[in-house]
Amino acid sequence: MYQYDDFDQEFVRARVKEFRGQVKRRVDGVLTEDEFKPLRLQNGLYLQLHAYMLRVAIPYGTLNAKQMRKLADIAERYDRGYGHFTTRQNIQFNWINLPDVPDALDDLADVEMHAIQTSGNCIRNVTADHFAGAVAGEVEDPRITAELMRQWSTGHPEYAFLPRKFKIAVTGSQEDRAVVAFHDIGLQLVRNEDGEAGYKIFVGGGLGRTPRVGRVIRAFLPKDDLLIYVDQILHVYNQMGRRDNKYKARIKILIDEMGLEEVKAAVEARYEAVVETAKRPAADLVQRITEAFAPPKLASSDDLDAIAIALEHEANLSKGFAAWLKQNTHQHFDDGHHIVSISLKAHGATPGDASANQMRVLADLAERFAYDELRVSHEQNIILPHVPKEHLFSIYQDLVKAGLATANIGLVSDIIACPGMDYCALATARSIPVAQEIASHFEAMKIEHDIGPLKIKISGCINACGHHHVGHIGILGLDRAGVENYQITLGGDGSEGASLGDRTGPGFAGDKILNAIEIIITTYLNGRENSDEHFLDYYRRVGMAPFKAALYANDAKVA
Amino acid sequence: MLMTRRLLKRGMVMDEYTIVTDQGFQVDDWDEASVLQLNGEDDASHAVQRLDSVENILITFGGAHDGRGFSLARELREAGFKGHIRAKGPLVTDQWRHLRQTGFDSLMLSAEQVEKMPLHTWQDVQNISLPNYQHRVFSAT
Repeated sequence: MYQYDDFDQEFVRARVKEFRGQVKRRVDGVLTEDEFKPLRLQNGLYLQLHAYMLRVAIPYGTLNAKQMRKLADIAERYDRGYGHFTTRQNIQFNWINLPDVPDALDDLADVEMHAIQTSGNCIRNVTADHFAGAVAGEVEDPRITAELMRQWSTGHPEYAFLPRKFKIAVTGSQEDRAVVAFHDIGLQLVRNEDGEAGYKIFVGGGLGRTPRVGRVIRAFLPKDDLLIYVDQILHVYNQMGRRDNKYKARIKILIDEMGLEEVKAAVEARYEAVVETAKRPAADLVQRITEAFAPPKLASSDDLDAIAIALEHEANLSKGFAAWLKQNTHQHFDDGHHIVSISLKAHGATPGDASANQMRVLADLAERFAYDELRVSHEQNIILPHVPKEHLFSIYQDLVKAGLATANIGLVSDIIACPGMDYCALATARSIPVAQEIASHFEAMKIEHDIGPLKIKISGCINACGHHHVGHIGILGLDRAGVENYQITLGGDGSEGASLGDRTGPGFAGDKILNAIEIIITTYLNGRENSDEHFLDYYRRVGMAPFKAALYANDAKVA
Repeated sequence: MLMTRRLLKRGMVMDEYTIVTDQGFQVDDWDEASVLQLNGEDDASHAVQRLDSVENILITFGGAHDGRGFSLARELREAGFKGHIRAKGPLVTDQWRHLRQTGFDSLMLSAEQVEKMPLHTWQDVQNISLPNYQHRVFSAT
């Protein structure tokens, strides 16, 4: 993991000091809320429905046990004993008092953490594949790129007042677990014909009220040129992006209106003008970052056969462990290890929430069994990226005790949901109760393993924080004359197959949404060729027609 | 700093415009005829063609949250402009760092702005030394 040096530490402390002064000016009434707003936003502080919300950055979702324990302490000391992990690999505290915020930020700085640029019209926390450095076949660990981008974008003087927020994600694999096609800039590490590493660059992707799949602005950029090129994209966007309407201010709209070719021409012209002379990142810094993300020294497993036999034995003893082993582990580049996903989606719980006690259990497990490393996934789960296989059963048993052993990764109850009207000032409908209802229902029916891979994503308003556009089943909660109404989309995909979901038709009332989801899933189960034809495959083969017919069978207007 | 205090005592900060620099407040002493006046949203490539005969540039920001002026100043510096670049508009103390790091030398304040943000508020932000990541990334040792 990357460790702060004196520079990083000094920066974070200076920002806390600066913000302490700003909070004092606000509390003393020197600053109005309107003046305070951009200052607090650049420090991750939102004014929500009921209270201030503090969004803490977890750069590229990576943290260690000490940091996780500090998040637990903050949850207890300044909040109500829990935190909410988000789709941008951050954590949010929903019940924080304004005067406490500088102290909470100082506590975070003690463990090399902060809330800088988790909000505001600036370059936000850079996200990366949550399996980075642990899966086979990566061109390079994407966190090397993400950390370099973090440093370059932190406190950037030119890009703190962009037309709108700007999100960047990086993947080092062909498989896209970082949703790169739905970010303002998506970076994929690739190799060219000569075997040199570089980037494929997507631009203008996004969700929100105008969902767009990112377009390729560069098929291959030499690795050393990344900051130069990204700088030109940001510069062009800062000057040409719309500022008259916040809903038309993202770079995706600039590309809609100007055309990709024209935006590309402006970026490339600037790039060509400086590429010969522009400074590259300092070699010693790049080397230090690269070394920081070398995999831990993995314990060697002498007898993989014996471990496999032991695992099989343990799986025979415990059906729960067998299901968890199948569903919540992923192949590691080393045969003696697995990547473990820990679900924060217990049936009926709030997706992404973890109590302080659960955070401490996660920290202990990482420290005892998994080289002191944890990840937060954009799907709001926690990952142990390097786990020796012989420890899997012990880990599972501890997770059971903490209520963290739900074997549902990638299944119908592993739902992404935004905070919705239970917390958020923008929401037009509730999302968490809908997620809870769906998860509990299919758990009671005991069919989620039979249904197989299926991503449901729920947003409580058109801003799409719950990524509903890229859910295999997407649910969007709206307000129709004071009544919650839920629109459904099918066929979205946030992975390398990048696609936006199609609307089924008219929405469903809050008390009809579960029934509609059940009809969709039953239609799939009855129609699929076999259990290897997953929901998304089936939808791509048959299209909307059978779903529409089943959903609106009794609705003359639609039929 | 002495000069600033003297100016304050004479009440000169109540002149129509006050200039913020790293050294504190100064009076506005520009001869308007020597100044190229631009807006944050202006096309830099047009401005760059007029730089030869220009010593001073004034860039007016459209709003406190409109960062186009920062990009414009950067482009003028990239084009080799060595003269003085001054900002004007509804900016606040917390943006001083952004101005200085994108190529501005000073900021022009209205009397109303001075009343709201007196000298010590500018000194407060000038005294916070925030390490510069952009410099570090390209020249770490």
